[in-house]
Amino acid sequence: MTELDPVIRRVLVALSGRADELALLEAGAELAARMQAELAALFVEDLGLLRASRLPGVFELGRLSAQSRRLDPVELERALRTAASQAEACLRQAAAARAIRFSFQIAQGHLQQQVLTLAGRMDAILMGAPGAAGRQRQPARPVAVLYDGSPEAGQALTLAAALAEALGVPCTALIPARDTAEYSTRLAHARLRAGGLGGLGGERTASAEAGALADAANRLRASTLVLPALRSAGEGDWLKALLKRLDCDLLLLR
Amino acid sequence: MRRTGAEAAAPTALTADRLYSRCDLAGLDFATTEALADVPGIIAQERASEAVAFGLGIRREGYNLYVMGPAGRGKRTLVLRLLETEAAQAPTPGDWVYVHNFAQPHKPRAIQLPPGRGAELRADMQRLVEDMQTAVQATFESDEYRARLDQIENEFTEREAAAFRELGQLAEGQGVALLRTPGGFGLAPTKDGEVIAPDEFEKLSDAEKARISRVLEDLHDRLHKLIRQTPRWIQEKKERIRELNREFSMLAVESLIRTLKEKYRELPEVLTYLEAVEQDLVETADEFRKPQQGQVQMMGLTMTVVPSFRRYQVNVLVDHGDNHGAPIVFPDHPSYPNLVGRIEHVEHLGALVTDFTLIKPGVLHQAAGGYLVLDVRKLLMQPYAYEALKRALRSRHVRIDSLSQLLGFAHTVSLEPEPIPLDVKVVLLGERLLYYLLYEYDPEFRELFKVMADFDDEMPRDGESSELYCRVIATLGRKESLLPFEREACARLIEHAAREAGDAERLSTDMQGLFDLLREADALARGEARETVPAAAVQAAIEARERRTGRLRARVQEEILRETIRIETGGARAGQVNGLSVVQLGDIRFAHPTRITATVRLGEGEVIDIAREVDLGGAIHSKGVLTLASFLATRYAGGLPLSLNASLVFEQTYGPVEGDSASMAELCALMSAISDVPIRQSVAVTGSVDQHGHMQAIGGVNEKIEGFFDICRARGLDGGQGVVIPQANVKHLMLRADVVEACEQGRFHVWAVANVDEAIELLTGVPAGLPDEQGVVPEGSVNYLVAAQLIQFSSLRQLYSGRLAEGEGAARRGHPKKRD
Repeated sequence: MTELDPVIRRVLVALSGRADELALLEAGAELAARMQAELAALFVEDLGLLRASRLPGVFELGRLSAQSRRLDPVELERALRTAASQAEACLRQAAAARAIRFSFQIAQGHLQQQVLTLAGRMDAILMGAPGAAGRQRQPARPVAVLYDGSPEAGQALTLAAALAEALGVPCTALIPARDTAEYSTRLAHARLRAGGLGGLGGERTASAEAGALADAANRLRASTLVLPALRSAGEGDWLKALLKRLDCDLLLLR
Repeated sequence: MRRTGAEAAAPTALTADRLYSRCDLAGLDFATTEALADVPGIIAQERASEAVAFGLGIRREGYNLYVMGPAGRGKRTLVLRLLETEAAQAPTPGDWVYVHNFAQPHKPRAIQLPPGRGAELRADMQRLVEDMQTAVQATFESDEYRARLDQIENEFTEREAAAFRELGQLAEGQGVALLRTPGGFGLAPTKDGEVIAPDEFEKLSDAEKARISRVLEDLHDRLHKLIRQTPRWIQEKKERIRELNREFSMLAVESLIRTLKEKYRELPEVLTYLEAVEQDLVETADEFRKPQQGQVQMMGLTMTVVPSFRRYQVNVLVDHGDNHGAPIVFPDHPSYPNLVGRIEHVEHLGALVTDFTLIKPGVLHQAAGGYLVLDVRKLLMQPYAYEALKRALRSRHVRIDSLSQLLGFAHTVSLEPEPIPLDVKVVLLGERLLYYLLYEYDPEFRELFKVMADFDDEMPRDGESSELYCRVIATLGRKESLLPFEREACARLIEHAAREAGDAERLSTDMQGLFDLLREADALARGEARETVPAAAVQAAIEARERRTGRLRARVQEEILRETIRIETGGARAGQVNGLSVVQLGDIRFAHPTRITATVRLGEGEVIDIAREVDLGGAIHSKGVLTLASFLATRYAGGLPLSLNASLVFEQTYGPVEGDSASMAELCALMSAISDVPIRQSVAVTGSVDQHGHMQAIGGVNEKIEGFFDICRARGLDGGQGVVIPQANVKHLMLRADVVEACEQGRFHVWAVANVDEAIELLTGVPAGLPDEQGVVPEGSVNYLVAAQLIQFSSLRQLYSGRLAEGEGAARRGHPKKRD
């Protein structure tokens, strides 16, 4: 297994109560086990959803049946609590199976803000894109990582390489570059940083903007996009914009 | 009485040379059979051989054979020898296989292939399945397949994602957020990018609320349609994946099948089958991708399930790969399932199941294109076997139906295998009786078995046949490594064959009986450490066999000698004569004297056969009695009413009596009773009589003479004893040596007569009395005395009839009848 430098302290999985998030929890547990890190889950009861349930004329449509029914706040809260319980049970099971430490928290608010608030340094945040229903983890889909040559990007590259190795899939670096020469240079550098990971692929992007990154990852049909820590103002909005367009899971290194 | 011709001289006893026809050693020009060449085929069956050859040669429907004759005549040997010659020149028929019918699994298909290629196809299909497993695994694990599969998955994933994203953007543009709920999706109005708080919503104007409501309703419909479309996308994706799998399955299958199709390109039926296999493989290639074993839960039990590819197996029903020429099949047990085949079942979870691999062939399948030889008796003893054979021959197909299905007893799922065309020549081996019964009572039999080959029981005895007979002895002896037979032994065997035929001028064709006697004589010779088999060993074997089978004969003789059964061999009695009866039980055949008595009285011309009256008399026996009664009436009562009642009895017989060989004896007893001329009890008589008094031939003449001889000899031969036989039976005489010797010495006699007059004269010692030219019969002769008595009876009858009429008339007039 590729050594991570520095060591990831905790894998933080962001949950919001969707049924397909349990697969995300499993992926997080697997990553935590490989990183010898703690597994933490943050269940966020979406504030917007709670508000919506108290508005008149707001209906819920069944995911498969398309049956329409009134979004009732009491039922919604009950459903969220049930989802949280299921998520916690799954977390316990996944952690026990891998003999890793775990923690579970519930919060109310906006998912991205809450998870960014909770995450500390050396945490890897795993979020599922809120896109289409029914994400199934596709085999052989690559792990994509943003590599702009920064030290943080290097750490993200190492994490992505470890994740790709664990999943047995290729790893592709998304390299923002002005021209081909810059791209080639950064790719070579990335390959050097990746070390033992053979066959690191590369994909040139126009920029590191959220939309461009999401489009690049979608074009690659990546299973996971790994990003270095942003530490910039508007991080939450940037993240939100990214998640709106991204079709795969997001692993954010803090 | 009618004129019967001039007086004839009483017959004299037959000389010894006429009692036994010896084999002329001068005609046997060899010392032992070692010098004789083998006989190439069966002797003395030219008619049958020609018939068999004809039947085998004609290739038309219905020309099957029935080869009949007693056992031991060489029917089987001849038939098989001719068949082997024919079969060797005939083409080797093709193999037959059963394969799975993919369209109708319960109707397995039959395919014919050239000889030896059935097993080849089976091996090829087995290899195909093994190769398929490898090919499918490799195909569906290939990068190309995975890439194509990913492409389909991603396409649909992206389509779905894009649709929801588009809706989300549309909603966002109209101030509405698309939310994920635990159970699905929701739409809610927003303010500044967030879901509006309820209290703020309340502050909105009614118009704004109405607008929001309309927008929500519109987006709600769009979302509803989008969600409803998802299952259709999923179905479409599945269909695309199915098509992809089919495409790659075809890749895996096509190359393998192409090789087989090329190999069997000249066999259209096999090609058709391979195309069906190809189709099925493409449809079910997924089975080859599954793990080799899986577990399923059934009725609370965990079962290990192994994928079955049995449907691709080939059941080789008939394999002629190692054969040359047409097959010859001669089953020992022609039961119904052995004839037409059977479908086996295996037990599975308490039920009986089957498939085409469990079809087993019958002998009809094995003989198709060749010859089937059956023992008729064995065939008829097997329930439904004969009907099945006829059905197959009529339809020219072999259909495998189980008896339970045929009779409606089957309650399990079974198969209807495709019938297999049948081109076969059937040869039935059996008895004459069965042939005639089948011919008479089964109309289909005549249609299906048009050729009859009749094996002769006997052959003419002459120099040529005697020489052939010796060669047969040589051939049979060499076949079983017996000692060579000396010339004299061969002569004795020829004489014995004549005795077996019951005719000095013929030889029995019972080769099996001859073979057995050769073995027995050989054993006796070896017991004496001889290097050749002499005549004495043959004679000893014959005598030993007679001793082995002589218990019953000895018992009867003993009872006669002890006078439990009363037979007189001395003195004379009127109305009593010694007849001779033959007993046949299995291979035991002997004769013994039977006392026949006759009584007469005044009557109305009825001759009563006591045996017939009590239903112990067979039809032929009764015919004989009626015939002699007719003779009596014709000869002696042509011009006057026959006015006697006579009774005839076979004394001390308590079983059925059949045959007319004692009718002459009965007539003589009757004439003796009428004329009161006693019959010598030292003379027995055998022979059948016709209405004109002529003596007719009978069977078993040798046994009858010997039977009476043995009794007389046991009591002491006095030179007066003997047997009267029909003239026509002289040629059948092959008497025992001791009988011939006694006759030669004058201690016993055999007389051959032509008619009743000669017989009665010998029996009574009184001239029969033939009429002269004027029709006058000598006074005191037997005929005179018979006629006189019958006239007396007639007169008495008329007298009594007249007195009776007078008496009746007087009674009517009221007067008593006048007495003389």
